[in-house]
Amino acid sequence: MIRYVLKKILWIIPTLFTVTGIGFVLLENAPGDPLTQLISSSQSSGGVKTTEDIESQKTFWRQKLGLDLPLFYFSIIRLSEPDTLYKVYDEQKLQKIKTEINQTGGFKNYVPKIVWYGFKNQYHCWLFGGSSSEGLIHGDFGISTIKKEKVISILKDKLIWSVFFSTTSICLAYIISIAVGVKIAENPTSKFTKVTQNFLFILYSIPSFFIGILLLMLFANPDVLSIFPPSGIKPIEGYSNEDSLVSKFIESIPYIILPLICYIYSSLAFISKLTATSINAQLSLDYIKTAKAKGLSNKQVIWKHALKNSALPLITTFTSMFPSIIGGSVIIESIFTIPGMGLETVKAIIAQDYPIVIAILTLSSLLTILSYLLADILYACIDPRIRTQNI
Amino acid sequence: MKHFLYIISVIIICVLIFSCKKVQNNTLVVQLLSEPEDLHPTNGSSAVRAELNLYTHLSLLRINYETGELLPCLVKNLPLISKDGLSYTYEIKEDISWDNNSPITANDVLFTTKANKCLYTNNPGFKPFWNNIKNIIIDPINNKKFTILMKRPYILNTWFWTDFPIIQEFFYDKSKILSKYTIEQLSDSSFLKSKSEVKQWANDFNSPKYNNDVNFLSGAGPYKVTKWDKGISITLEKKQNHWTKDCQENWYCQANPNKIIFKLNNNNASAVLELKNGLVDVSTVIDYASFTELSHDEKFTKKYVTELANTYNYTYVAMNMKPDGKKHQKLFSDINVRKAMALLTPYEQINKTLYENHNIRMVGPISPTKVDFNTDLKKIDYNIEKAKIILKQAGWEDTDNDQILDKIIDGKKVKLEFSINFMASSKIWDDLAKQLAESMSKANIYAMLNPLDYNSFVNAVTTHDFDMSLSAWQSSASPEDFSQLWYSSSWSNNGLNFTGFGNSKSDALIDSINTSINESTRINLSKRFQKLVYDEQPYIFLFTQTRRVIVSKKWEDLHIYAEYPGVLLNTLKLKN
Repeated sequence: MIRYVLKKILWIIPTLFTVTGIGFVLLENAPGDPLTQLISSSQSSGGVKTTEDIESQKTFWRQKLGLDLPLFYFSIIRLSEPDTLYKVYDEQKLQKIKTEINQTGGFKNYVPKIVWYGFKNQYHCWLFGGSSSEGLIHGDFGISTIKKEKVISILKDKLIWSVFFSTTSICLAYIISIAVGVKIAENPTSKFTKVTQNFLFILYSIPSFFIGILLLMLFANPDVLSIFPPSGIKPIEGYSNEDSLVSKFIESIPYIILPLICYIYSSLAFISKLTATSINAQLSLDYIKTAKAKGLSNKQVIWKHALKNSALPLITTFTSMFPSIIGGSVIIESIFTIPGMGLETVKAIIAQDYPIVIAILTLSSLLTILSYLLADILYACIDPRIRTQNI
Repeated sequence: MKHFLYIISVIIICVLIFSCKKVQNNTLVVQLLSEPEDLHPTNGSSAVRAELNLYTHLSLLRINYETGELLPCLVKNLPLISKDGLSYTYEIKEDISWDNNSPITANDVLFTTKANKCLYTNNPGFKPFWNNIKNIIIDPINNKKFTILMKRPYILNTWFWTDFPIIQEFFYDKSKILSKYTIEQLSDSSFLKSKSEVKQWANDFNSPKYNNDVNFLSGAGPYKVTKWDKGISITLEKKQNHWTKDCQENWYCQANPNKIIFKLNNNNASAVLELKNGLVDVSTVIDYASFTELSHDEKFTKKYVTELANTYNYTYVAMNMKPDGKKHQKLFSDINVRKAMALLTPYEQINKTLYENHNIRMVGPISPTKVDFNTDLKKIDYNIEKAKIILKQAGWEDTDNDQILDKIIDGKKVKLEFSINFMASSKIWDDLAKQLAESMSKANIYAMLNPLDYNSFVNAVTTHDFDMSLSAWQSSASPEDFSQLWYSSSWSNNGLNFTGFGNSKSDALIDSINTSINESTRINLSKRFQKLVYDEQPYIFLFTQTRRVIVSKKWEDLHIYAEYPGVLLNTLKLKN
């Protein structure tokens, strides 16, 4: 088992390298120049800046941020293209050059060529350190081009809230759904089953933005009921410095209830149905009949025997939810003004803040890989047959 | 199940107890739509940062929000300007000091200039604004008196100081590194290459501590940033015994609320509920429909003042006057087509359906609220029949009966069909584009909607890869420099002149405006320029946007201005 886990962990390194490499190249090739955002000022008119000024600023900051280096270790270009084409940053100039090459290149336009740039490239610097960062291997994701701050310190605060909401909602969703699923499995034809299933499926079909706004309009509206605050995750003046973690949490309870409902409601129908179906499949098996013959109650049979053996699909679902822990939810975060990862990701993409986007991509990839590993371990723990097969 | 119900009950009790927690007395809570990227005194470009700087920093000059004129702030008087418009002499007020009680002197102004101009300072977007400064000469006898030498006369040579706070040399450069170098040396890359101490200073100055660590956010203003909960709120607190308490007649000295909390909320629905719950005192960013609804709600208007304020910002539809003729046909190269487009714009319908009739029509490149607005320019009204006649006269006819006008251009049959670019991020742009397209279809013109993300949108307009594009410009009370938007080189260099407007005549006029020291001459020239733009119609000028001001009646002394941010929060007083 240990050998198996170690083997899986070793696979993480090349997988992560490939995923981040592809992500890095794709992102950097997206339309638009990140420096345009950095250079642009809030004033649209009324300045003395000229295009020459802007260009000289761009050149300076491109060098400072290492954006003048080739993107990757190598590139595949046409034989007719010069090796230094990556140094042309102006989109229009680049198009002109390419058109000229198309016209004059002849057969060379159809012959591919691999150009090796060596280790002085943007990806290598990002991975192992360069002028503006110590590199990913030292836990440094670089500096945000827009916020001019270490990426990790920007993401740290956002991660806390996203992880809090995701883990709490996943746990709550499982607790509630398993309880409901067992209840349904106990008596699939009862009135409770019919009402609950219909109710949960209606909820499942409603989009989260609608539920979010509906909750606000019902429970944070002085015209209806004003029980919960409409936005934020803590009192307006923040926590006091003397507050303990527990008192901070208690102060935040009114703020987190409505978002939490939004986070969990859609999972309830799915997980409870999955639980009920899995348990029902187990209930017709011989070992259940034996357990019943021994005089165990229906409840005991389900909770002690059937549930454990129907856990595999629940684990699969759980591990597929795992990467979303850091993903956050743009819609819910936007409605309730939660400073989470979802909104931060969208903002970074819009602003072409690549260091942040690539950091989020790396963390998500890592978490996805780890979730698969966790799933394998949990399968092996629950079902010894899987353990034997893997070894 | 019993335990579950018990837990739920406890939670509800907690909720009821803690949701009652209110803010302290004399604390003003303001809705913030987006967070500033940082609060660095020189590095950063967001409008929110500029708004916060109004209260935490002071500049040499400020804008008089009542009159839209310049107001001396850290200096005794407006500068003494030489006849050639190249030297500006200022004298800093007596008895004004930094937080450590050291006096504010001309050295701080020199340091501010050097810090902004230093090549290593991370403020690339603003560096060009400082390019015109040649040198600053400090009076050898009086260290509060100094003369700023400029490279060329320019209408904004004084105005530009309103945007930049003066920062303390002692706080940001204790070792006085920058004082060893001249302004010119600090902006010379080859000179700086060997000066590692400047690089070290800049690395420290650019470091995140000056971006967001409240212990390192220091300014001369009457407020101080005391808390920044990222993604939640920013708190400013009034400084005790600050020198500004002795000059309360000036708005920038006032500090009436003890605390100002800028609370982030970019969701309109929850922002409205926060207002209804009385959790927010000031908002200027609620959407038009909600504003109208709230201003008609008697229960709400008992607690809040709801007023509309003019701004200098405006929306427009840009038309590509110089297309390549391949990817984009030469449709708008013809002035008649541009004029027809202006006539086909359903202004009233747009204003009514999208802006609740709150916006004011624009006719040229200057807001009607500005002094130099040319009142002779007449509004172009929606007139579909007139547009059809103009198009017919210009040779556009539906020769093949496909319900789309066509014409032979450069020997090729070209249809009057094009795409309208707009930013997909806002529904209002989408609705506006739809209304334009629908209106144009009535004159047998086919307009396709082309929603784009921000980067693609900017890329398309700056590289002239568009037919028609919807957007808005933000402006201020300062005299208008038309060069960025209308100078012909700003088109050829992929600047902000998207349409291709301009020729040597208009360029010369812009140059004359920019170098006019005499205000009445500048106004006259500005009016001539507006007429030039009006006659060419490179844009369909739509509306000046109005600010939707909502302020709690707990606060008095409310004055509303066209200049951003519209309400000066420090001047609001809590009612007794």
